[in-house]
Amino acid sequence: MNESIVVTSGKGGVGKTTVVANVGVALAQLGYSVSLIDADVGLRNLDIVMGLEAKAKRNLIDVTKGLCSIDDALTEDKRLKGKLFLIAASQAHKKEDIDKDSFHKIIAELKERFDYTIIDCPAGIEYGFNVSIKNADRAIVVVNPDVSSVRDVDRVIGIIEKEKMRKIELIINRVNLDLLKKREIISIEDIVDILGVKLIGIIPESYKIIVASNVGKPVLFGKDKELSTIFLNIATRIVGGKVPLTIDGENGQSKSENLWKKVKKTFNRK
Amino acid sequence: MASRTIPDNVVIFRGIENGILILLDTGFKDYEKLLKEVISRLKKNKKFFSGAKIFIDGMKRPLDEDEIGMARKLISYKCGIEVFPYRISREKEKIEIKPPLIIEKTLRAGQEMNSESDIILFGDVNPGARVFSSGSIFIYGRLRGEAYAGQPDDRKSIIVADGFSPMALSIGSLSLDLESLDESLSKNNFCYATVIGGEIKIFVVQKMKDE
Repeated sequence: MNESIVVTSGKGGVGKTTVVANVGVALAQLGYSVSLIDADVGLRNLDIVMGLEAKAKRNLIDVTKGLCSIDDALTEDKRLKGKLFLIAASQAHKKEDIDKDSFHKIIAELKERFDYTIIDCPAGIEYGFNVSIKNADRAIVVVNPDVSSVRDVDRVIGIIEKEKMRKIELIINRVNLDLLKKREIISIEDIVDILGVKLIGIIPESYKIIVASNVGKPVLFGKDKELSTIFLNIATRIVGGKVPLTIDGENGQSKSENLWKKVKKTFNRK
Repeated sequence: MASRTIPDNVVIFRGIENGILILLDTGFKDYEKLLKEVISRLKKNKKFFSGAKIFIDGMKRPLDEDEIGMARKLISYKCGIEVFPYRISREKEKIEIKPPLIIEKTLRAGQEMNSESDIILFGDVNPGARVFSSGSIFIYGRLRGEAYAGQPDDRKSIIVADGFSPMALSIGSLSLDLESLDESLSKNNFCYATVIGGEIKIFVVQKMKDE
């Protein structure tokens, strides 16, 4: 609690922002106070996905430049009164315009006020990414089940590992179950085996999530129980609860367990 | 009294970075005679040696304390030159074995590890990661990235991994033909790559084979 979590992926278009929005809502529905920060300055979209664009009058750069206070920039999601707030990114600036000391102060203050502060990290591994990861206690990396996404996320994990974060966890987003069954895409097991970090969520490819993002209504405010449960389970795992992971019977296991098993097996062989 | 001439090359004068090195063939039994030869040459070319720092060592083995003491005393007395002891590197006699580099982590995309000594890695080499060694590479994990052993060209090096599906693999200047790699090697098999008959061959360690 009172933690900052950066959500990152390396390449863009992987579904980071959708994950941030829905996981944020899920945590708030579980009763935690949550602030969401869109650090993707210049390509702001978290507030759009949340359906809060019209209400977000001020943005992150306004705060870093001292033009307004944090409170002025915090937009409340009235669907979860008192629990869920957002600071939108600026459309008119670039990531290099984020003053890193001001950003650090903002995150520090948000951490004191909220149980969870989630940073929607810009794509890439340049300045905006670096500022975001340096202000996070934990990271959630979002990957799609395709080799180039896995390669990018592996690179990102390698960079984040140097920051000595408390936790790095994984969400696999946009899993096409048909292709998975037919083994036409990289398997969950292979993704976890390569990336070697704890898997906390498997989100299927779903037109409902796409529609929800388009109308600014995160799926947890909708009627689809299955999708809502997926995000609520992710949120439960984030706060330390144990919910078994399944996707049509497939289980994910962390690499450290696998490696240790392998090493033990190797040394136990005669 | 005529002195026996001594053979060529039992006394060698060699220019080195700091001055001039006198090498004595310690196989030649008459050490005093060697020193007399040194003194004679130093005297003959006094002008050449003045100002230079003079060192002394044995050719095939280092001079011992007594030999050095005798050389310094005699040369100083006869020529007024101070001679300093020296140790040439004797690579052919003793190969210096560098300790292996031990790494306890998975190498991720974009990361590289480079060492002159053998590398022991407890972890995987992920796609997009590279390992370079002048010696051998031992991976207690999967090789999915690139591994280059025996760099630049030591074909005695080997590469070991628990699962072989490399993006590139070389031993010395030889590269593995990836098309020839059996896909079944990629998981759960302890394998090693070695050079036989000018080609890289992969072997499964049968004892470690998973059922």
